[in-house]
Amino acid sequence: MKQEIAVNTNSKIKSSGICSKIIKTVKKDWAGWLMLAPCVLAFLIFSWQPIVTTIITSFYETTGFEVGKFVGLDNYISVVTDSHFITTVVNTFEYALWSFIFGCIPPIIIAVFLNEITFMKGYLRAAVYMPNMIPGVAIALMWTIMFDPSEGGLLNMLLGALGFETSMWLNDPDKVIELIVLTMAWRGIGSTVIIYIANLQGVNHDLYEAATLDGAGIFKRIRHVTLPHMSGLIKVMMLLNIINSFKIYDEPISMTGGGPSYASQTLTMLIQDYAFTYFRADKAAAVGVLLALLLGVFSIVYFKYNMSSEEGE
Amino acid sequence: MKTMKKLLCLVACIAIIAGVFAGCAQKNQNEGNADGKITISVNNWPKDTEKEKLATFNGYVEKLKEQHPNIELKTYTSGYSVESFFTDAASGQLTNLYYAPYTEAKKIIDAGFAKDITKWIKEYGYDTGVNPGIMKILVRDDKYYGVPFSSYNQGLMFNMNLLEAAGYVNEDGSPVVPDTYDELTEMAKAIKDKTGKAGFFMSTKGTEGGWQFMNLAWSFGVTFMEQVDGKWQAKFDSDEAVAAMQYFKDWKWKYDILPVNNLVNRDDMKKMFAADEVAMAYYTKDMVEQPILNYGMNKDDIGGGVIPAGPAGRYSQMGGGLWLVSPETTDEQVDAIFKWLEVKGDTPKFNDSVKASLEQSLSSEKESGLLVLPQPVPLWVSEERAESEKALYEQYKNYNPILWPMLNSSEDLILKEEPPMYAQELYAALSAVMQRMLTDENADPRAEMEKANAAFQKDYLDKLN
Amino acid sequence: MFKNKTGLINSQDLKTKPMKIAYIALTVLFLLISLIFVLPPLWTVLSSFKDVKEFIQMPPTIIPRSFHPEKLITVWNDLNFSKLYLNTLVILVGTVVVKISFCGLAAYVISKMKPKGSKVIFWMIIATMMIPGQVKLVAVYKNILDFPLLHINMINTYWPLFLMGGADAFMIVVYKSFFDGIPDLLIEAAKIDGVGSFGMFSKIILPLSKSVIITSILLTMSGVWGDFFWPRMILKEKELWNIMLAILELKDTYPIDIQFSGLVFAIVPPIILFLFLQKHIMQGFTMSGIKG
Repeated sequence: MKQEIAVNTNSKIKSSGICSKIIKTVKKDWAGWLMLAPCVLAFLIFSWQPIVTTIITSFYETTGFEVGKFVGLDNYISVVTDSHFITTVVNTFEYALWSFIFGCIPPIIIAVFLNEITFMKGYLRAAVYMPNMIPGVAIALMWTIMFDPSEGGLLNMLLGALGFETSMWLNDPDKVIELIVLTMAWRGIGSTVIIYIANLQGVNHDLYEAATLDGAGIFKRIRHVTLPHMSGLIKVMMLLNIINSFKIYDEPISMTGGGPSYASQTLTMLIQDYAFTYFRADKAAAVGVLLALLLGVFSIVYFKYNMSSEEGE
Repeated sequence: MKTMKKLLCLVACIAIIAGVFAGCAQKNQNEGNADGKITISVNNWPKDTEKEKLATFNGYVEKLKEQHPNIELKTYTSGYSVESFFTDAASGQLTNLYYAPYTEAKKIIDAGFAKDITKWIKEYGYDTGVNPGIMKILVRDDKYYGVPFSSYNQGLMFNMNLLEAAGYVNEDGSPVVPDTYDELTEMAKAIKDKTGKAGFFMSTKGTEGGWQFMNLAWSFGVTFMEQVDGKWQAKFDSDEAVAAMQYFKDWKWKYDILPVNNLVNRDDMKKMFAADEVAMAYYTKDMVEQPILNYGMNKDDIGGGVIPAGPAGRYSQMGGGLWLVSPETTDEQVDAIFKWLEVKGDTPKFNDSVKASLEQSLSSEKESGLLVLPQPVPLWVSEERAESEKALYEQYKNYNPILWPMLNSSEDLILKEEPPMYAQELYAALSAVMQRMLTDENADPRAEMEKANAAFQKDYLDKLN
Repeated sequence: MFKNKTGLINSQDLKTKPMKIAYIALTVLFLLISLIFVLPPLWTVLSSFKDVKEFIQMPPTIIPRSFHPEKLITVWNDLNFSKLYLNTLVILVGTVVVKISFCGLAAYVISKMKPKGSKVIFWMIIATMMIPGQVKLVAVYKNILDFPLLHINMINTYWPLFLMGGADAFMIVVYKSFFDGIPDLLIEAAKIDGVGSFGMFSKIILPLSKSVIITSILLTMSGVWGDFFWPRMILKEKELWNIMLAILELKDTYPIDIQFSGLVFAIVPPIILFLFLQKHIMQGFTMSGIKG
């Protein structure tokens, strides 16, 4: 508890000057800040304070969750020098890359065209969103039956019927990440499509009409009317997709447990292992902070790049 | 300049948040006992769907009310769950008395999630009344941290349908039990050839692979770690360990007796076993229950035999259930807990009340269609209790003794507990090696074991020294 | 049949025969693609109506040999569904209300009112997405057990589930990007008409944002309906359980086929709700107000 008190007094000294400044700012736009308040409170309790605790924990030694002595960067060093850390980081990047390929472009295409189809559109939308509404246990069972590497696996039966060689699927260290990402894209695509479709309702149809009169074909219309309308959202959704792909853990845990031989292990699984299997909250926190730093740097670069490309247009 | 200002603002915000919240240390409110009532919370309670067991437990509660009217129970059906245990424990939300399997005891005690209950262990006679080989799991620096209530040793279990199809059933209907791992391999190969189904199953996923590998490795004479001059050294790059791993690898590539899927755990096994996809596997108590309960397997299609012997002997890992007490529990509550355990029958004492409780438990197990198998590892020291238990099990048994030669004691069987340090981490490391063996025909057991051994030494053991 | 179609592909395009064929081909293609999303999970869940031996057999039977829909009755009789549905619905409605009022309001302030300092808040919100949920689990749980400053224990209430919905960075980002698309002119005009800060949100913004609100409801629905991690941590009392917790309780004690057939009860309501709500995504933005 000692170090917490230290933080407490420290912050009081630091914040005394800024405190009045903040009060001033809030006073000026009291209506806006009042409307922000509920959300800010929710974030304080369920996000910001826990994150600060996590960061503090990562510099201490813990027994269970009790903070012990200050160890500086020891947890970080111990985590980074772990024999499998590099493999895990490389895997995590691989997940992100494949998520980008499977998870970013297809929803855009599906949304743009699905928005145009009038026949059975209610069904079609529900269909794309369907995997989201099926509980995870059923999905997990589905993939075990599909990906079973024996000849009785559903996909292997399909391959066999088509005259192809059967595959080892998730047992194959070279394919495992792609396959896991594919299953996630399959499951997650619906929600992205729904968001894009909602966004597409904002396109002014007069613009399409004008473009048609000018003789623009469908793909030209997509390029000059649809995509510019969506671009802001697309940029954000892509970033969110990539951030989420860095945090993958549910699927690999249930599908492969990180195997074969660490081939599908991710950083978040490492956190899960440290915290829940080995009861090392300090090391789990250190990995969490490292992952956050990685994502932070990545996001800043992403935004910088997007800003400059916007200016260039 | 602008960015500097922003940054400063951000830092200030975070600092304030930390400041505001740091002061609030959480306190644990213990339930008031103004009227002399003591409430204890207990988990692992039978679920509504386990009607027979629930009725029995409700009977215990009635008995508790009679004998100790001031004790009240608050019951929860949750068991031990990897996902939620740490969060519950770290937040002080464990029930006063909670269940954990043998394998979790060490890390729970190390993390300070179990209360030191030495005083009551001695008072209620557990220190002398429990099989010392089991009790030592719960002792740390001469202090006691829990109570075991069930025990078993791993063995072999057979899918009798497949054994019959391959001609491995004796004339009297009993299974042919392979005495050594070589015999097991031979038998599994014959089953595979005749039926096309996997002859033997071993978990490989997560930490389960390494955990099951222990049985095989010990029988090859492997010692996983040793303390030399006070320093821990990893020893599983030895010739014995490499030989054991090579043996496992041969199961895949030389004999092809394992399931095609190389990433499997016991959940897969239960399903495959019930679906007649696997002929033999390591036995643990839950592994017999769940194919029956969850997958509709006929209880008389399951048989059990003693674990095979390897070149260095016949070794089997112990398993079972433990009761631990949450650190927030008050002394009064601990006393109530021990009274409750006595009512329930999880006690070294033996009297008519305990006998009645035990009888109720067995009869409900029988009624719910589960196999009532005697506990092969004696948990309690008391001769009287052992005799009486034996008689009760005889009375309520519903298994076909022909199918369970395992229950006849084997003279040379040596029971072992988990490796002393970082057992879960060791299991995970071994699982990875096992997966490597199964997915790559050209993988070299020696190189992989040396690599894993060195990594385990560097990542874990060196940090102890 | 395509006469009044406007949008990307409009009636003008569909006058020519090749375009008509292409459009029909596109529809057929999407119908085929939809099968990829619908058939496998549907097949898995419906497989649970096979008898248990057939359900677990490998290779699986594509067309079931046995069919036992009466398993649904077993599950129905063992679980108190009216109570479970009610509880789940309460959680859903509460979370939706909190999401719209907390996240929607915040996103509006950040997008349109832009008071000084709101940008910092926005970046702090974005930053929370970088930290994986597992590391802060214990700290969050401790706050639920002992609400900061007020020292309220929220365990065995729905409040933490509702309020957690308010700290949803993803929703804020989605809302914000929608509000960014609403022309500032509209707000300026309303301001001149004397609409206040709060009135602006409820009278001008919300009616315009029907599509995003429906979207957020749909996303929340699938999140809340199938969630069991936090409910299991928070709702220790059985009377409060949601439908997934009750079905998970069947695990270990019930045959696997019956467990899975129970999932039907968890799947059907959200699908009906989805079909009912998705129509409204179309409405909202293309209002006369915006064009003028």
